[in-house]
Amino acid sequence: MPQFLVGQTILVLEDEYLVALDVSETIEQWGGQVAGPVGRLSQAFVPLESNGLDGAVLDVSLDGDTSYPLADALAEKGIPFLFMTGYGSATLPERFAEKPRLTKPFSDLAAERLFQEVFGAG
Amino acid sequence: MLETTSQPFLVLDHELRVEKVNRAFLHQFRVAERDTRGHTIHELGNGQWDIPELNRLLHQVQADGGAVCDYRVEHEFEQIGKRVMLVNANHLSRPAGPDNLLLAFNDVTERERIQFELEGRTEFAEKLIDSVREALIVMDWDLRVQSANQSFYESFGVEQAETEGRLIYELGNGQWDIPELRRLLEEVLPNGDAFDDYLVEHEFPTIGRRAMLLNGRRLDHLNLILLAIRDVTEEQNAAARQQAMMGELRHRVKNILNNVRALAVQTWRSSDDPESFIQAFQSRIGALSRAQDLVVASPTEAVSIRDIVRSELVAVGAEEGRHYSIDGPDVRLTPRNAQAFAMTIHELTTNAAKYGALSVDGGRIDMTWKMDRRDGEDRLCFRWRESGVQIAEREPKRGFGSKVIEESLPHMLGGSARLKFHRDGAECLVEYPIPPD
Repeated sequence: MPQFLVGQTILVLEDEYLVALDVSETIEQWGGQVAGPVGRLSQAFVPLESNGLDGAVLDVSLDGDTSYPLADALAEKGIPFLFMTGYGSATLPERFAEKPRLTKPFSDLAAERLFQEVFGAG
Repeated sequence: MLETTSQPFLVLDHELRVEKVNRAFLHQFRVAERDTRGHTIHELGNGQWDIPELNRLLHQVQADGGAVCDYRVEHEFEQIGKRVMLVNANHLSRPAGPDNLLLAFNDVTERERIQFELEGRTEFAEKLIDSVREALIVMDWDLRVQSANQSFYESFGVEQAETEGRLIYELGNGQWDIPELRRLLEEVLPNGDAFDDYLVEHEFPTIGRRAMLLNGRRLDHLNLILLAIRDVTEEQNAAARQQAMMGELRHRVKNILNNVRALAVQTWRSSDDPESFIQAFQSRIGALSRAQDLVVASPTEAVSIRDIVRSELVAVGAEEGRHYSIDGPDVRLTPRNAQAFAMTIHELTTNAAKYGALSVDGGRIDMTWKMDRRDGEDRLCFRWRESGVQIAEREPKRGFGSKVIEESLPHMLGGSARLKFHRDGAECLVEYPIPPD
C-alpha cells in the first residue's frame, strides 16, 4: 500500500455506515488518519472547527441534506476536498462543477488515483 | 284580388260547394280547376279534403256566423303528403242569398319542420354540453355567462344561480379573474376563432391550485363564446409523483450497490479464507435482501421492528417462544432506518448462532423495546438479551460484526449501541431518536 497520506487527517462525511467504514479503512491503509467518519452534516462541523483537518471526503447527498454547506466552509479555509457521488456530473451546483469527484461504487484503483491527486501533494 | 296573392284561397257557397278557387290553391294542392270548381269541398281530390276537423270548423262558422283564425289542421294528402296548415275562414256577404265562406290556407309545414329541427338542435346542444365531462361555459361576447354545464358547477364548487348572467371575471368572488384567461378571451379570441389546450395554472381560494387546459371557440352565428376547461391537476400530480418515484428508485439502487461493494470489501478484510468470506458475504446479502422485501411488502414502506426481528431469527431457524421472545410496541421504521436496524439484528443473530444463545441447548434471546420521549424527541430503546450461555472469562474477540452492531446505527441514525457480555450471555442496548412522521 502506498503511504501517501502519512501525517494527514482526512474528514469522512458519508451517511451510509458501510461505505463510510470502507472509505475510512482505505484512508488508514494509505497512512492517513480519519476524522470521523460522520454520517450527518451537523456532526461534520465539529472536526472542521478543531482546525486539524488536512482534507475531506464528502458524500453529496446525506439522507435529505447535502454536504454543500460543509464544502463551502472547506473551500473558504482552503482545505482540499473531494466529492463522492452516486450520480453523474449533472447534479452538482455550478460552483463545484470543477471539483474532483469519485463516482460510487468506486474501484480501489480509481479511489487511489483521485486521493493521490487531491491530497497526495500535501 | 284572389289571383294576386300567393296564398291559396277557396270561396264556398252555403252548401260548401267551391265557387271560386285561385291559382295558388290549384298549384299548392296539385289539382285541376275543373275538378275543383262546382264540387263540394268534401269531394275535392278523391275526398282528400273530407277532413273531420275541417268539417266541424266550417259548420261551426256557418252556424254561428263567426270567423276562424289560424286554426291548425294537420292532414295526410294523397298527392302532396302530410301538411300542416293554418286555416282562416270568414263570411263573405253577398247582396242576395246566403253568405259565402272565404277559406284561406297558410301552409306552415316547412316552417314547423324548421322550427322542430331547430328546437331539436338546441336540445341536442344543451344535452351535449351537459353530458360532457369537461367543464363548459357558454358566454356572450361581453363575457357574461349564459350557461355552464354540470361539470363546471361540480368541479369549481359554484352554484348555477351565482353564475348565470354574471361576467366571468366576477364568478366566485373574482376567482376567475385570471390574467392569462383575460388575455385569451380579450386578445387571442377576437383575432382568431379559437384557442386550444392553453395551460393555465391558478390558485383558487376554494379548491386550491389547479392546472387547467383551456379551449375556446367563437360561435359567430350565435354571438357566443364556448370555453371548455379540462382539469389536469391530477394528471400533473401523478406525473410528478412518478418522476419522484423514479428518482428515489435510482437513488436506492445506487445505494444498494454501494452497500454491497462496501460489504464485500469489509467482509473480505475480516475473513480468514475465501470459504468463510463467501459464507459471511452471502448471509449479509441475505439480510439486506430480507430488509428490502419488508420495505417493498409494506404499502407505506414503513417496516415494523417486530417483522425485522422475526425475519432475521427465522432465517437462522430460530423458533419464537422456544428460542426467543419479543415484547414491545408496534414501532415502524423508514426504509433507511429499517435497513440499518436489520443489519444490526443480523449481526447479533449471526453471533448468537455461532457462539451464543442459538448455539447451545436451553439458550434463549429476549428482546424488549419501548418508546421514550426525551428532550422533545421520541427515542427507541431496544434491548437484546441472551441467556443460558456460558461465556468464557475473556470477552469474545470483536470482529466486523461487532463493529456493525455498535457503530452502524449510531452512525446512520444518531443515538448509541452498546454490546456487553454477561456471564450467561450477550446483551445489546440500542437507543436512537425516531424522527416524527
